[in-house]
Amino acid sequence: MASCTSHLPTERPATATELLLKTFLREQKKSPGPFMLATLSVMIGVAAIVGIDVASQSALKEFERANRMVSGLATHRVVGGVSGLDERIYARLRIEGGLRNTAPVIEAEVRIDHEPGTWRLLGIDPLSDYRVRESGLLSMEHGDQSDIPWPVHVPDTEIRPVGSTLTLSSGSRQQVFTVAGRIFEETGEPENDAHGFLVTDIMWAQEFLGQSGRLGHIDLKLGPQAESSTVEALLPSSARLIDLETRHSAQKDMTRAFRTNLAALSHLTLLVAMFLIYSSTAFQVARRRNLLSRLRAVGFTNREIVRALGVELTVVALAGSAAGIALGFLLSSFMIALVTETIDILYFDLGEGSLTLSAEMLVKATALGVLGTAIAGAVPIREAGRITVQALSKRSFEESRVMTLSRRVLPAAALSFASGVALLATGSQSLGLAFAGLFLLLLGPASCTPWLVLHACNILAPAVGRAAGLVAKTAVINIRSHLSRTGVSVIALSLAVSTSLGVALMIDSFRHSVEHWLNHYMRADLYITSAVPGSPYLSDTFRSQLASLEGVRAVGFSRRLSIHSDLGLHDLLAVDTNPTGFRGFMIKSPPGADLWNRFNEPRAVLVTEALANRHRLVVGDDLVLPTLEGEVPFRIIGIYRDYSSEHGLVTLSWGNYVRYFEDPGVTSAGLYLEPGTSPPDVKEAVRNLDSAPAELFIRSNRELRDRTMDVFDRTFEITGVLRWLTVLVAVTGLVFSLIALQLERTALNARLKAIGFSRTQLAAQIIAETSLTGLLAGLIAIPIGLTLSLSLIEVVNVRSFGWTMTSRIDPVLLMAAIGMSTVSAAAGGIYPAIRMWHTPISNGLRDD
Amino acid sequence: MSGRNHRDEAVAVMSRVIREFDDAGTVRRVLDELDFTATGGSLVAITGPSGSGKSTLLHLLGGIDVPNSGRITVSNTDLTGLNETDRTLFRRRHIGLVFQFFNLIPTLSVIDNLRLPLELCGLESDDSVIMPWLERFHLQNQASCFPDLLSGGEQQRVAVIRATIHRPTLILADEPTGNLDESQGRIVLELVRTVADEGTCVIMATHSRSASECADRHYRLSDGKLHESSPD
Repeated sequence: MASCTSHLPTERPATATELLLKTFLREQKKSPGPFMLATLSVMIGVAAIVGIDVASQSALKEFERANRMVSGLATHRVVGGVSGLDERIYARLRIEGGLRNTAPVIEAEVRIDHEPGTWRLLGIDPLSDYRVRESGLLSMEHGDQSDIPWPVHVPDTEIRPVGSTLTLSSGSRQQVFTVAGRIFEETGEPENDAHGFLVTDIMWAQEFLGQSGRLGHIDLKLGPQAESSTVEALLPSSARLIDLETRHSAQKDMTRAFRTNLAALSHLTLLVAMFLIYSSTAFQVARRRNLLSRLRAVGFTNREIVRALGVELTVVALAGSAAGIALGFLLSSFMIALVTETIDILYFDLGEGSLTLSAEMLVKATALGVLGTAIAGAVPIREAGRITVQALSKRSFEESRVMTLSRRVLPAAALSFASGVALLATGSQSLGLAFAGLFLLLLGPASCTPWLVLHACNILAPAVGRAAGLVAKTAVINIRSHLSRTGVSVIALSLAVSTSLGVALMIDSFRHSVEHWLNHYMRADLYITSAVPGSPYLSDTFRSQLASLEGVRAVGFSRRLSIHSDLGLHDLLAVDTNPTGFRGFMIKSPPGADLWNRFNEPRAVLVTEALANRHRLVVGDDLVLPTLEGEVPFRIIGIYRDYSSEHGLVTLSWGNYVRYFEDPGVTSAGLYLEPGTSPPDVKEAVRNLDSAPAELFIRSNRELRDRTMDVFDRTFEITGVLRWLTVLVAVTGLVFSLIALQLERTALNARLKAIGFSRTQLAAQIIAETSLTGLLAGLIAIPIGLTLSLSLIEVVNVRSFGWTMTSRIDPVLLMAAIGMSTVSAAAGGIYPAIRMWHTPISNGLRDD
Repeated sequence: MSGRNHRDEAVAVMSRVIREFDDAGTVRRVLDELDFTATGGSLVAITGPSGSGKSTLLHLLGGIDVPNSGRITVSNTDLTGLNETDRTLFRRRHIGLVFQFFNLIPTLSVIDNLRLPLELCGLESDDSVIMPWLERFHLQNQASCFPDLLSGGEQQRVAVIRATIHRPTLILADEPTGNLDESQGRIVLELVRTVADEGTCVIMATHSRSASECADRHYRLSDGKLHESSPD
């Protein structure tokens, strides 16, 4: 016995799973297509999510950084009207209120030495400021500044040496400052650096900005609730105490809908990818049916087979997720510019953010990649576990099973569609529910694609046979016969094409609605705004000179500012206009009303439908606004269509504005010209006015409209990238599965060649077959895309932004969707056709 | 019903044909200056051990493969002088192929499988042309069936009809009974015999003794050359 055991192999015998994995690995090496497709699908799906996540988070991080720079550890802020606060309020808070943790701040946008780009100049009181920023983000290197006039501190990343000078300009004001020190972040975290900021003593800032005795705001670090009450009791009616946490989250919240829309699109990419993972896994199982049956015959249990396939799928998930994270990070460097630009345009100015990939994002991306792969691969792997020794099956069995399945899925698809409609129809404002509804709405009809393709082929085949002969008919029959291979890829393609079409139709409808609104709203011939940083106002002299210009029939003025009312942050627009200009407001409620006279009544306001929809306001409601006299109720006399702000706009007459708010001047003017007057001549005359600001934007009606549409288009660039990414996933998947299918048919092609099919005929048949598959997917995508577009317009946009729009169906977009689907599928046939062309018949017959 | 009559004419001629394969760097000569002639109306059986080159010989005659040197003529057309497309067009019209594993097109019904060569040749392909063939070989009830619902014998009969229906001058059958039981094999051989009797030249590679026995001439392929032999 002892001698026997000594001859036993010392190496641990391979387990059943290891042996199976070796078998599968060898097979993968021989034919890596499906494995690569699955990995690629996970990769692109994860990349879309990571790309958007990193870009959005990094952009917002920049917003938070800027807020931290300005607010430090302050919990509250006292703000005044548009011209700031009297500095005596600060003294009162410290002396009467005994509040030590207070810091006065004056802030302005400035330029350095007329270089492009603007900086934020903070004027602070170093003696009190440390109390609200004591361990915070803004620290100063205190040199001996007493002898330096006009000192300024620059970020430590700046190369300007201490002692050098720089000229700051704000509006028409200019001043030479001397670099007195550096501002740096104590924690040393690079993302917390002070780039974009300049700091000086508040005294110098007040003098430079011409605001002696005024403060921009007062930052406070308040403790218990009682301190807030103390502050509020000491404030005049023109000043308000705001909670910074609430303000920052309100600002961040403004971008919520935008970020949710992007996240939904990126998750849709993963959903499409999941179809392809399912498709490639099912393909693997189908291809291995005989192998698995043989393995079962040898003695492997179903559990062992499932385990080995599970390990293989885990490798796909992990490899795809890792590659997806890397690709996503690369994509985000491109996406962040688009996201930042869109947030800049729609919400608030963001600086240039740096990309950050947090551990949380890594875990989320990996979890989604693994979970998506597991869900998508579970069904085919379960099927593999059911393969019996006897099931060295025929393909027709498999195909007929798929045909049965395509029929059986119909009730589930109908249920999915109905659930989607129900979720969208609920009165809830939840965007999450709306997107869940959209996904179900899409999934339902898309799942019917194989069944529809099957029946379309049944109808088409005889007709094609009669019209073009058996060779053409064979192409149609082949599509039907290989649904087990192509069905899911076709679902993914129609899902992606319909999504792309739906979003494109929505954007197109939106674009046309905005164009229509602009045409209606913009009635003046020339629009004038100040381009001077820190000085957006047009002086009274300039206003009166504009009105007296030759060829100017009338002038309208407006002022727009951001306020924080009980409804949160929103814009306030005061208009000094005439009945012609007022008719530019597209009044939606009450319909057809002429509100000109009522608009000029005391405390009357118009609100945009975005504000009304978001807060469920109706005509006749009172809206409380913070005014010089404290909180005053204004009556909503009308609701109008406006696309300039998603977080809402309250519009009031100039009379009401002057009565209730401070008036530092208007920010834009609209000139109505006499008929026959040349706008370029008037432009030139405006520039030559003595009182004209140093820098001025004067745009004609057409220029401003074009610019607005250009801005509109830019805000949808990021959406376009995601749309195309989704389509790319689907097309890649379809191309791979068509290639795999065609390669699997090498033997069949050899038989056809042997019978007498020429290579040209076969190549044409392959391309016709793949093109027809794409055409059918494209045709099926049309009604789904239209439904999606309608849902986006009627539900998602209203819930996201409060905007309504007129639905428009551009036939060109429909044709483009069909064309894209057909061409991409046709492209999937090119490689197999080339391969077929070069494969000797004898090889194919030998393979058989 | 079948065959343009080329009885006793030399339909397939191979002259000094050499076919070599590069087998992992080693050149393996499968056919070595092989000469062979088959006439219309004859059934020729070629036997030989596995790997001796029977299938290669049939592939060369069918224009599926090309020799390294030598000349192959079918119905007075030099196949070695044709390019791939021309060989395909020639095969389509003049040659029918029968394989061991039937090689019917699984996605087409029996009647469509038979329609295929007719359409490729631009011949009349109505049911009225095909049904008599099916009736003659007792397959009329299977006309609309798909191949995998047929027995092996039925599939091979369909394959023989498909190779014959467009009336080629040469039919090449590679182990036509290799995958069938004895009784089914016999039916297929009778069918092949009938086709040859009607004037078509049939060359059959086989391991089967019964298949050899029904042939008019017997060759054994060994060492790259054909040796005329008896059915044993």
